[in-house]
Amino acid sequence: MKNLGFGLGLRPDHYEAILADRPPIGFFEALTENYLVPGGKPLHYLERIRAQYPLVLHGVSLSIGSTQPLNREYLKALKALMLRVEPHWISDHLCWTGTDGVNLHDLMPLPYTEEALQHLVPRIQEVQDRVGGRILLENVSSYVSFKDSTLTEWEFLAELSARADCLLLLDVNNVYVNSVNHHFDPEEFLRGIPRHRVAQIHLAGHERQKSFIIDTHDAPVAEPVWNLYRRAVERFGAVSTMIERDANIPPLDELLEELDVARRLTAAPAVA
Amino acid sequence: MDLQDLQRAFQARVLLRQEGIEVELNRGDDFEPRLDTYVEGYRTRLVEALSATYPVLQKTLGGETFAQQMRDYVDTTRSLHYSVREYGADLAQWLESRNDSGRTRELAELSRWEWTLADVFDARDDQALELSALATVPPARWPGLSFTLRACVRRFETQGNIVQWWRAANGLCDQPAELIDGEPSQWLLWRRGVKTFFRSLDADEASLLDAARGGSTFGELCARLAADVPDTEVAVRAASLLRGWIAEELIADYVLSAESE
Repeated sequence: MKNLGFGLGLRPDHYEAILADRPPIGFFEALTENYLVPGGKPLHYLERIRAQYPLVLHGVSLSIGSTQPLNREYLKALKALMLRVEPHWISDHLCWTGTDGVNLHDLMPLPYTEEALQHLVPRIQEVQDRVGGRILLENVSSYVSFKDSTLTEWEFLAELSARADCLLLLDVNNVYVNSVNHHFDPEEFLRGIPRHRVAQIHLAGHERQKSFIIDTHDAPVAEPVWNLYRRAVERFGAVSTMIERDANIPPLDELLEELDVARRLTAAPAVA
Repeated sequence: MDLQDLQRAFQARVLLRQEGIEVELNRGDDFEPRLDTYVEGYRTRLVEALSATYPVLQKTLGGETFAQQMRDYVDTTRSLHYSVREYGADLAQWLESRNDSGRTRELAELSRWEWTLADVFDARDDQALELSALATVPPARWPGLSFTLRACVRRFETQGNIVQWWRAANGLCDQPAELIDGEPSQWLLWRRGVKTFFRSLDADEASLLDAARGGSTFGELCARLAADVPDTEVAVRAASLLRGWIAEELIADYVLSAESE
């Protein structure tokens, strides 16, 4: 996948500032479900921003790991949105979001087992067939782990991406969060991920609880995550990188300054 | 447990706080708080989604009461759609069914109003009909004209002062003393570009607009008007209303009925 440089999550709070100031941002990542609507303001702004910036779509409801059938209605709507805004790629999360027709609107964890691999691979392949290309799946933060897991998270991701021939969206914050929550070396995680599978990197803030960390996306990127990002850049090279902020959203300038930290930590490619 | 049973057990823990998933999970420090991240996070997320759709209801009830009531709603109402934006469609009926407040009906109406606004906000985009498009229709064929309203057009009827209440909450007028029942009033909501509009309708216009939406021809609209307006004024009044609807971008298209072809 093409390196789009340094991007931000597209949030309604910033629509006007983006169009008025045209800040030097390599790409925007739009939350897919926010734009799976018939029309109106969300699509109006998305199309205008797409006309000026590279765009990728990031979903939360594919529920690729769910044991219920893939949601055909969702895939149809996703495909229609892709045709409308022509994203460079689409991504979602390696998780399940509900079963038996219910949507928990959360990124629920999967056990790292052969059974899960066998369940996921044909589903990923079906989605890739339907959307006409490889998708990116993101490693998620988790707060519990399963007794039945026989693989580490990174082994699972490596095996899954090889078998399904999909790409990975490496969320460096989630790697760090899980390394604290599940007591592993985050650099071992990075070393376990095949270089050629990582097509995008996420950075975000988190919230520390007593013995664990919650992935909140409501604060600046934490120092240990920047340190780990430096290691990720060393391993994966120049990969499209973006900062996610979903709550306590600051003015655009503040996020641009934070994005400059990422730029400084790696060779800065040209912006669009 | 196989993967399906595992997911069902985890989901039951989140939705119903039902035990079962615990035996499948590694126990470590802060096991319960970690599990609660999923259980409580589910409720928090859906209440947040409801507060985004129903901001004036939240303001009216007060943050704490709203949060408590919405958590009750979340405990009884599953989200079945891939988009959280669709959650809360039946909140008005749920509020009515609770019947636990002297203002139940008013609060239900207020939530119905806010849901309608949300519905208009992201309704399908379509082109508004230009007045000049009708210039090509010969006057003799006007009685056979019928109209398609734009996808964003919604009608709303209220028994109370909820629209004034909503406007006051948004700083658009003085705050009424209380949310009360009153005379029934008819409202029209729609969108021009990305901006949402609404205005009140008098009974005549409401009836005619509803008839037009139902497929009545211009001739049939005139016949309806004739019941309330002198014959000599019917055509002028009907044409005036139609011009207004077109200017306000309420009409998407017209068709000529087969009889008038």
